[in-house]
Amino acid sequence: MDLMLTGFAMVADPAIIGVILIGVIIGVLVGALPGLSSPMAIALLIPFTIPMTPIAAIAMLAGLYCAGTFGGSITAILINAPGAPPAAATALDGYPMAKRGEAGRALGLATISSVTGGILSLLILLLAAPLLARIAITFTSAEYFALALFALSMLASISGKSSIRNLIAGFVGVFLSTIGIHLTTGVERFTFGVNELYDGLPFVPVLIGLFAVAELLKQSRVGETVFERVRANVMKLPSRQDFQRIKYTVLRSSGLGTFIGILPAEGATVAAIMGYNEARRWSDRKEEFGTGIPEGIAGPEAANNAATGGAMVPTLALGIPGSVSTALILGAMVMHGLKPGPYLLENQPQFLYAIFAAMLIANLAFMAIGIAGAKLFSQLTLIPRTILWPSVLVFAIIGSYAHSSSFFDIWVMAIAGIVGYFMLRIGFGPAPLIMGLVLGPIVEENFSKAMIIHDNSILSMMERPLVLLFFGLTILSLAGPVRSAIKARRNRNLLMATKEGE
Amino acid sequence: MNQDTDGKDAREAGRQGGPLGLIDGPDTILALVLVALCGLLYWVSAGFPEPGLFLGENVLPEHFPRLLLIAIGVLALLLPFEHRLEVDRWPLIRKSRSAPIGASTFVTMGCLLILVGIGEWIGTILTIVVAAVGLPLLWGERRWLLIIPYAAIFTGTVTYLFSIVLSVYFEPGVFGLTLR
Repeated sequence: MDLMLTGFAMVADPAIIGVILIGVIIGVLVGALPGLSSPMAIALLIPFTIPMTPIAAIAMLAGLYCAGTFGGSITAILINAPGAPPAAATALDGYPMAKRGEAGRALGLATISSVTGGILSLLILLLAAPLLARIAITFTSAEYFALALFALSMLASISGKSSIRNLIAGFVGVFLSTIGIHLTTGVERFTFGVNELYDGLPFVPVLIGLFAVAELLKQSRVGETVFERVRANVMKLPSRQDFQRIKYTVLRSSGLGTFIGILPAEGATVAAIMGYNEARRWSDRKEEFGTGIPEGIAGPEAANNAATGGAMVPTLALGIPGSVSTALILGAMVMHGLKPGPYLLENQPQFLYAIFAAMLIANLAFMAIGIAGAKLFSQLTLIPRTILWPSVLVFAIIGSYAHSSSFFDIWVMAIAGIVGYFMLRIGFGPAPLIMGLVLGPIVEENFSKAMIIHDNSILSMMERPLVLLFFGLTILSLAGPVRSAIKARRNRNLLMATKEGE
Repeated sequence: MNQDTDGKDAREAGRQGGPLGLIDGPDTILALVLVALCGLLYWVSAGFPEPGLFLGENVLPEHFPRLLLIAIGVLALLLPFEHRLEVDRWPLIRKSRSAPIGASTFVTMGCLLILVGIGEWIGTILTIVVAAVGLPLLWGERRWLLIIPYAAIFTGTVTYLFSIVLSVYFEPGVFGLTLR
């Protein structure tokens, strides 16, 4: 209890509440604007946190993370343009409801479901993270290596255009993390004589390049989009009847979203799609889905916001990111001198409560901001792209430069952006690469230690049951996409055979 | 039917999700490039200096990167056949890579590289001012009444925030522009 109070007291500072609110406003703004994403905003915001205390910095980023997921639902409902991928499923029923003249009701349902999902997942974070950390503290480097390998293998199944490409991008990310001085032997690796690379590839410029500059280049050939707007009345909180109707959907989606969030690499987008599908599967009005029914909004919204709390569980307890946004938060924690993982929760347990309090404040804040400003946020899409994207470029330049006041970092950002743009074109997403870059040092450090302890023998490592379990899970995780591919191929062949028969 | 028409028909069939060959041409090239890069980096890793006698008992510095390069190389070899595995998602990759890259994208890339190249010379403040004014112009914005106030207010605020509030050192450049 004392620890909980200490944690809450760490956040109760007006300055920290202020930065959480700023994070929430930026999150809702970014979430509402199609093209801008939460990971991009976190990457751009990290440089602003440099002079902050670690707790203020992480609280701000956590606030942005929660609110960014919710913000996408505003434009999904009002203009049928999901501001963020996790809100795509919300548009399926949110927009038809808004078109029926019930935009306020749709926004209210989305807000309440999001907040409920977010808060329930935070409660699970509070219970699960210390338990997981207690187990993880007994892990040797062999188990940690196997766990990190499992997290990397999960990249094969994260949303994207291809499992193989996700894995390649993940391994490239891990490879990039090996650039610089090898900490154990002091040998320079892949620096090609560039002094600035001795400490490794600068993390923030790479993030900004891959998320912001690559997207900017993609937007360079997109014309100005004119959205059909639905007139938004004042947001209405759900009626008692609506509450009755969505309560089980919200509970089920919150549980599902939290579970998906906990799985390494799986994030809010997958949670939202599954939340929508499950809401439909359990409903006795399946045929009404897509016409604007409350369950179609509550299902994905509760799930995608629950995934944010869920994704923080492995991030804080194991130091293994649960999603790309938490990978960035993890990177920011390392930048601020924290080492996320079981020892952080063992030595500074109040940190968990502080994060919990920050995310709780963020959830309540975006409810208030969402209710008060939904109409305003939907107007953000009126900002011309010729003003929006130059602003992103200015933040990208200054954000890359600020960390070490070096133009070399701006070069890294520009090159990462151009490479990221071409990667996007050929089906490689930035998310797996960033996950690999974050997981890289953990994988290598534990691999090296485990190899020394086990006399360079992987077989000897596998004598440990948990290592065997994680290796087994890795194989299952890699087999998943192969099985789906075979199934999809079989279905396609069947379809073609039926067509030929006809 | 001549050869050109055949090629056109095959492309059309591919676009519509018709029968596809065993390997995909562009992905084969991509796989070869990736394998060649992995080979080159593997060769570079052979040139790492030997660690000291005591440190040599650790895992050698080239060991882990080489494992990664092998993994990337092996995965890359699957790419030419991927279109036969990922039947559902494959059309998305094909659509994305076959979309033409607009001249504006290349011009934006070029201007970005030029801006970064001259950034150290003109200084940090001027770099962000050029970015804020140049990109709207590059993308066809001609409403000066929008560009000038935006550039002045936005870059002014960002510069003040980073230079004064966050105490980030700004390179003054040849024009000596600085807020401090």
